[in-house]
Amino acid sequence: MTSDEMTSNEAAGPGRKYKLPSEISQLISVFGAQMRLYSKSKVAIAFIILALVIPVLAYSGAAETIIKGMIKAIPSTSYLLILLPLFTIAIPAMMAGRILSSEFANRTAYLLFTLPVSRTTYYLGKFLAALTLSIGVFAMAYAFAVICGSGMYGPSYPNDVLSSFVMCAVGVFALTAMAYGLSTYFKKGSTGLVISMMIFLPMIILALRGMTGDLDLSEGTGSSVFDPLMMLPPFTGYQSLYLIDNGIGGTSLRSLFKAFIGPYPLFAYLLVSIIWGTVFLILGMLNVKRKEL
Amino acid sequence: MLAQLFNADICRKCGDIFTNAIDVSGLTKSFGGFTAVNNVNMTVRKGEYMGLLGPNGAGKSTMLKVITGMLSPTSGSAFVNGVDCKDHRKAMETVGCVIETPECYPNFTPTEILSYVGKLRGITGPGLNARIREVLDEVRMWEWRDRPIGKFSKGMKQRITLAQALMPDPDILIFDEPTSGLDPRGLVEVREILKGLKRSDRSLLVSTHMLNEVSEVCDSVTIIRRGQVVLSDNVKDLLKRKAGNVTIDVTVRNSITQGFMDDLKNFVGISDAQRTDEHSFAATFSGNDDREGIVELVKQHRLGLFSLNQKGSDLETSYLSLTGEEDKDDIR
Repeated sequence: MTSDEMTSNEAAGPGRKYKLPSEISQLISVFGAQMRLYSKSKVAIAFIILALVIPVLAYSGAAETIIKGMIKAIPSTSYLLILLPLFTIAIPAMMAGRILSSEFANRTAYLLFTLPVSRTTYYLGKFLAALTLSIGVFAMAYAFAVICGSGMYGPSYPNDVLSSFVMCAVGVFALTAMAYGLSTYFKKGSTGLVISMMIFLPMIILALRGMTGDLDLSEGTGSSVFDPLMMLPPFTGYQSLYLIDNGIGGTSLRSLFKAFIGPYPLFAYLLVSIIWGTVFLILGMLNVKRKEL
Repeated sequence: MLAQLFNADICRKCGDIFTNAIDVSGLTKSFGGFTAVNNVNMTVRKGEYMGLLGPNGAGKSTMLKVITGMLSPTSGSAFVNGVDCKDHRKAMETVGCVIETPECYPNFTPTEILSYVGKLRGITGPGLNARIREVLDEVRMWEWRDRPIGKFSKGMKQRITLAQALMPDPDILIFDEPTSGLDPRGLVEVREILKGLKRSDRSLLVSTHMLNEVSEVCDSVTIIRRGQVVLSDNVKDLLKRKAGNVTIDVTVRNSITQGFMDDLKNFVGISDAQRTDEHSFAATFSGNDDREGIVELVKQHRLGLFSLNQKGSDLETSYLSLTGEEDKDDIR
């Protein structure tokens, strides 16, 4: 029986042949199943709750006290998102860093890889689910912070919030893709590796710049010399915080993060993150495609 | 010529060209210096139920993995329904597989996993729910449809993996040791399901090292050893051909005399006769399996027949002689 002879799949019943759906439909099915798996995962639910309490955690006093000790800044929405640099690394790594490795370890891949679905479809469907959830977590955090910030510190500028969120989302893409792609190479996933690499990398760069006297964060005077390595994804959290306070006059928290923004247009930072993420995504895909079970 | 080109056979009666269900040609799969499958040729015709028999490490799973696209061949080719296995998506369209005891997501219910597999296979709308009901009934798991799979026994999980293979109502089924690791109850249940799947337009390739599974479920058998096919035959023909090599164990009530043993050794068709103890002997037929004659001889010598048993199955005898003595431990 050829595909043309097959009946409508909805009408098809016992003993009938089913026409294989398009790869896009299959990708949507893989995406949907992964989202359903997330909905049953305690870790994923914990992160969504955490996203909603990020602003609360920041506003609880500790962060504010520390920041005020470092810089005389006008309170703003960025106060509520002060944990962004940490969470832009941790959340993507935890959401995407174990998906594929656990599929192989738990032998669910042995079921799915025998189905008439290309490995690329399978790989991308799961990645899109991880990315959607990660970006969704930050979208909720932003929305909550903007709503709370508007009430406490006055209205935020929509363009600044948008550019900050785009920077954050692209950074999340880069780090999700990195964690996801690398997870195909490690039996126990890449979560730990990505978190440690992406937290230590900025610290090493900042320490090196501090030692050479090129970096001065104390008053945000802007005297620092920009390091091109700061265009890499682990810095997108800091850059997002800088961008969100763009329209605020006087000395705001953004002064602290001025050192992370160099003399390049926003597009350049986004491009670096997109290339970074795409490279890791392709590396992971090549590994999955040639993987022998 | 044309048939060869498309990996097809020509029907001797009607002359129609039809593709085989599975065609494996010169298939070799190596891992580094180790060759797991070595230049294997095998055909499963449409409607044929074939058992792939061999001891552990013989290369059965590797072969099935190549056919189902989980491994790529080092050389040679494998075709499913006339489609090269390298085109995985197209080749697996009408195939249901269970390879190497896969697992379902433990948080999913049978309905959820079958719905997922159904959508990937293009079953949508009301037809999807109807099909889920059908396959769950087929594997006797309908009443467990809304329980998390993680809480199921191994046998129940295996039935769910069989159900997902049945979702597209496939023409070809490929199972890799479907009863492996199951307790006796689960084993019987799964074997009953396998028998129930038989229908004229469906082909089955099942790997196993359980001989009774092959004789109960399959029409033909391919015995594989150290990556090479050592025998491929129809199960009935094989049993017929090997009938002459049957050994029987006989126990009698009275002591076996030397005169009886002399007569037994001279009995037509007996190639070997040994007294195993005072009341038992073993006899191997080289020609016809004339058990009635042996019973008559026991009567003539007034030994009083107590029992007569065939030593192992005929298939087992063939298997052992083809796979070697060292593989005996793998047989159940």
